[in-house]
Amino acid sequence: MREPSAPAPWTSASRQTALPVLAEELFAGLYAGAPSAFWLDSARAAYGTGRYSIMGALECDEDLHVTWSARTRRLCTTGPGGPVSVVDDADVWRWIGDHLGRHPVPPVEGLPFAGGLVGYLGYAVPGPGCAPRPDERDRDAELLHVTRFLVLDHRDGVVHAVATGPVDAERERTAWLEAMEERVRDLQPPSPPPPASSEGGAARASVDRREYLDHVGQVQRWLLDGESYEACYTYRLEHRDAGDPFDTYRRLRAGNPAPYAAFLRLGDRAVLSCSPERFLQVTPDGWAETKPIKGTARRAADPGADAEVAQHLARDPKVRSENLMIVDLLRSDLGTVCLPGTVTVPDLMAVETYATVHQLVTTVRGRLEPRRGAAVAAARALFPPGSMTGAPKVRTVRLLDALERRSRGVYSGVLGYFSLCGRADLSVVIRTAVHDGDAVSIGTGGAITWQSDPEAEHDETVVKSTAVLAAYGLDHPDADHRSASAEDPRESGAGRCPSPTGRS
Amino acid sequence: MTSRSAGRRVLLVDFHDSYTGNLLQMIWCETGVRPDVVPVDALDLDAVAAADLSHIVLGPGPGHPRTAADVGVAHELVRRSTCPVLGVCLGFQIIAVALGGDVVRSPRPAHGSVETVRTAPGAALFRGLPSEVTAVRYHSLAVAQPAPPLLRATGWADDGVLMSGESPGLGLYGVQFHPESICTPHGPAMVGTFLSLEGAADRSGLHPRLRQDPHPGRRSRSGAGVA
Repeated sequence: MREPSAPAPWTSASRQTALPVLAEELFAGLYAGAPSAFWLDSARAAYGTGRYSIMGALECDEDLHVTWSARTRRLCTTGPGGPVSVVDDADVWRWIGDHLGRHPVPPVEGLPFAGGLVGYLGYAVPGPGCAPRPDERDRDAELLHVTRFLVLDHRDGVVHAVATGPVDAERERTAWLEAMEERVRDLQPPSPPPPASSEGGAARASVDRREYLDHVGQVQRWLLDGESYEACYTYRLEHRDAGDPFDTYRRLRAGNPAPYAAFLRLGDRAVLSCSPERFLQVTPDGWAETKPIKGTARRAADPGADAEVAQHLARDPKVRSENLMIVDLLRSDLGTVCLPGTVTVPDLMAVETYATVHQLVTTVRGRLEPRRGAAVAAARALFPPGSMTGAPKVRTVRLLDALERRSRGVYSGVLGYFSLCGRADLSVVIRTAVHDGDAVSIGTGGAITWQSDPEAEHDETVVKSTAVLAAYGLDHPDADHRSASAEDPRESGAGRCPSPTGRS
Repeated sequence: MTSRSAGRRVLLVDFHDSYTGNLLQMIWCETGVRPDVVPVDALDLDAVAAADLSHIVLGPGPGHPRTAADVGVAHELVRRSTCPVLGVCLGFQIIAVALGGDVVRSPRPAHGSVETVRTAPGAALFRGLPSEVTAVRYHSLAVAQPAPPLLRATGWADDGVLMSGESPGLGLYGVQFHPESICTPHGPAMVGTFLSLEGAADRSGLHPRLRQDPHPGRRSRSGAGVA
């Protein structure tokens, strides 16, 4: 691999105007037709997140579309004019760190992002001791290096156009800012998204219900044998959809607004996310924060019953154990890269409420040891996200990888940005659909503990997939079964799943 | 940092667990020095012998204390070192097996449960603490009771499972629960107390029996043996 050259600091310029249209109209008018574009969409401001949205596309010579394959370990970069470079045997983390270190930029006053890398790192990107099986299409990580973009400040109702680049390229920056100002002013509101193209029906699941219950039984045997304390078993839902993924994304964000919603268009792959979970935020002064979610309950229509559901979630000993195991895991992951005594838990198991579910969320913070590329090192130390693996991570990832039918791909990885100013903000890829051409896949799953009722766990995976499937007009193949088992969890399928030894 | 454990040189053995980083932080806070964290399969016993360590901590981890694939040379490390050793969870089970004890399946797994541990008077790790402490358990296997003669039992959970033990003459101490959990309030005090212990011990007479089967726990095991 090429040695990183000496850092050549860049600079940035920005212009602010009142937000003339909705964020969705802005993206539709400016970027929806671009072959590579991103929208980190704070579709919902909640629980201290969601003030800013960021959107952009590849626009100038410095911009790159980066892809990395875990199978070949090859990293390819493509610019607006075509292929730029191929790096064999690339360590993707090191590449990201070196790349960001080459052109440091001071933080842009009041804005989170100063240009840098935006995209996803899939589940098979190696973390400490973990290397699950690669993405089936060899697209394990995809990032856009962007230098021209918009930051929407939803609190103040303004949009900042930002241009970052070499110090001596001031004229280009000014020209782009002026042109963008004009484009934003002249925007025409788009027509509303068409309804879901699907005729209804159900997606296909990579494991049917019987096999799911079987696998959960296997997971619970690991737990009894001391091989794992908690394991996040997942599977995939698939279907075909020939519609424009952006139209689907518009329906998704309307139906289930989430603080970490995102739309990525990366050639013929598109990622549509309504994730509510923060993987990692790092500030330029070196504070890191992660907010694992463990514990999900379906909301009730009646407000009184809904409040009871939330209270029950917060008190349920099974859910609290599940959350505690991941909290201790994330404290440990952060503990390997933080200064001594700085890892704290300001919020232990708080209830957060979204359109269809309540969730139990913990906040873990720490001060990173000062070093070059601290944000990238922190993301690597925490990867893959503990809330998607279970504990202990290394052994559990290995066991799950051998048991699950399909590779997880983008699902269970992370999505967001690494800014040239040292900041990073990444979500956990859950409640997310991935389009490869017209093939769509949606991951779902949940943490299995020895106390888990396999039927109830299956129900939870149905609940978690509902919002994303609804954007396609689809149901989970076992959606009907769910309501039956919810009425009497002992009734359905009880004879089909062998109860693990040790459970009464 | 407390003065009583300043200047310590601590080896923390990582059994590829996801809680090791919390022990790293606790030891670092206590001694003011970042401990050496070594994955169990990267341990070099000659290097360890030459390192002039003050303390060794055997961390938690998945698997079984008699399975070489899970615990590597940890037993040999215990035998050949002379400084005080603290075992946590799997680390405690390694110590119990080294002292002639056995490990069996608990009556029920306890993964992430916050419980009360009743402690024995005079137990070194619990010096200055109330006789009942709150602690977090992450385990499904446990040290069989009665404990072997060399291991003094010093703590029990409400379900009777052994939660801690010590062999002060041999410089060996262990806890089945997790002092590094956010929900074990006295955890830092226990680790601090351990790091204040001194004295060399000859453990060369310990010869635990190991087995090579990498997945012994997958088979059904007897649940008997827990008092």
